[in-house]
Amino acid sequence: MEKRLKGTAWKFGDNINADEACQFYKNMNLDLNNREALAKICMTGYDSDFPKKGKEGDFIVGGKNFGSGHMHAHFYYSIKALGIRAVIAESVFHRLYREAINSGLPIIICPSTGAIQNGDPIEIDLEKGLITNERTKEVIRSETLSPVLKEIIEQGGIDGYIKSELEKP
Amino acid sequence: MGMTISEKILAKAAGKRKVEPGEVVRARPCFSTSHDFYTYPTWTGRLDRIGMKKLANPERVAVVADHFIPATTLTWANNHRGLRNWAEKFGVKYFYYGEGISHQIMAEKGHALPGEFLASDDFECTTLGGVGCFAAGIGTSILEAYALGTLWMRVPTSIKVELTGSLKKGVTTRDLSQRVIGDLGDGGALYSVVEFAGPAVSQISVDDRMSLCARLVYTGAKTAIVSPDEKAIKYAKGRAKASFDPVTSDPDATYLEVLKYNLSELEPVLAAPPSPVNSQPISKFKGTRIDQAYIGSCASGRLDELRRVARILDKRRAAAHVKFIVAPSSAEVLKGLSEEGLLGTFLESGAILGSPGCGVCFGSYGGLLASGEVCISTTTNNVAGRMGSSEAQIYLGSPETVAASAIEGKIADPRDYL
Repeated sequence: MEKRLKGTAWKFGDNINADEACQFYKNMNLDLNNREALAKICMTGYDSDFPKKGKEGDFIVGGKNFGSGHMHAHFYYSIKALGIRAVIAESVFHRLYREAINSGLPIIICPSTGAIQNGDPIEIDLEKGLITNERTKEVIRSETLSPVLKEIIEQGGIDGYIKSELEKP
Repeated sequence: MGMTISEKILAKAAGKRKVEPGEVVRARPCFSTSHDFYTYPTWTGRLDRIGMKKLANPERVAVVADHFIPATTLTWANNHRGLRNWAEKFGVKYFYYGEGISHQIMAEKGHALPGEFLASDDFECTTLGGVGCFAAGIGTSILEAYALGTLWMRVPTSIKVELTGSLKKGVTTRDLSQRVIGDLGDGGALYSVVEFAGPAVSQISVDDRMSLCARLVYTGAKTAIVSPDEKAIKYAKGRAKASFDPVTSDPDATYLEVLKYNLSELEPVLAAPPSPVNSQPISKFKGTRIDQAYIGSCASGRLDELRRVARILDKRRAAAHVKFIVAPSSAEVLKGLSEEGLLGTFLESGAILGSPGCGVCFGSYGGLLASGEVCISTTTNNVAGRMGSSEAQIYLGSPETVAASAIEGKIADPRDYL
């Protein structure tokens, strides 16, 4: 896994509800293997044009309680399908935290995301726990990713991690 | 600095002397369980593709069929067949079919134990905190628990809810939990354990503690727990399938927040549409006409609750226009009703007795709502579409509130019947 990630930050507010974000009850029959279709529902509950704006390697930036509610898998699958590289948020619902990590999507907890505006180019240093806003040059501190979780993300998610553990002599 | 009960349980499971909130540990749950919704073919298919040849601890695994039983469609008949074959192939020690809802029977069958760590693939398992067990909903990490016997856990912070006084007649721990859920709100207990403590706890039965811990996930809580006392230990001792070590919080443990409730001041509370955190006093909706009244689920439907419901229903009948459905949380609860001679009371009240299971709660089978209908229910969640039509309205309340409402055919205050 690269230590530094660069991309555009797409900012969302507090209490982003997971099911609303991907319009789950409208899209519940979408096959979770259909990446193309899933990419088209990513965050559309809050920004209907988001799948056109968000590019491979970009970041979603949330506020507090990101991914709340009775989360279904379509939410984080759609984020991954669009190619979003990581989610940065002030706090996340524990279900999303676990499922995102287990699906290989890094979640970066950052005490305040106020220094990031929609569309800002940012760089994340995962090792040091630093996020640089390349527009303002402001550097903000985030949590570093625990080695336990990094191991899972490096294997592409929980399935890869288990496989690698089982293959160890 | 002392540790909370949750920190102690996780430290032990992680093989460490101490853990700190925020720290990510790899822990070994004492017991792991999953139910029919995802186990076959989703989890089993992934484990096959991963190449798992054997379960890490088959003697500490239970697979529960509770979401679609008895098989509600041909697909589910086939899935249950597949589930059973998989469990046999991998030597899963406990296979429960139709014995009740996982979050109830894990306690009844002695798998969720005081001071121990249980992992379930279902995030609603907070109910099991009622026996003093740290029960964590871990979704896809069940794959790791099954294959390797471990899983990662970010140690949660703890919020203490201190209880004093005693509940008045007609007010239950279900009302208390709804108050707490409303006060904390969505995200109010994010990544925390809600720990119920204080002098009032000792009066509360284990059944009612389970109803108290249920549904706390809607505040964003990791789980909920009641420190085990003699009552919880007695409950567990007669059932335990393994040894257990009941720990409690240290007096100098650190809490993110402490909330205080005087139980004597509580009133019946409802979760009104549109969300499970929308707590409202019953007075606000008294008289609202209902079409369906349901008592059951992992959140309520235990023996203590149904005994009290029977007192309300005694020699009374549900209103003619109401579909009144009662499904005890488990076969053991149903047996208890039978042994205590209470089944007749339910049948004479006009209740349709459902089989123990999850169907009504998540709108799968056994009592779906039509467009425009209003339901009062003891289930877990009231978001639009949860129990059938997204044009139906769901109010959540205590079993006593639902029983009183069934009789009147409109939302009613159970205190008028006691």
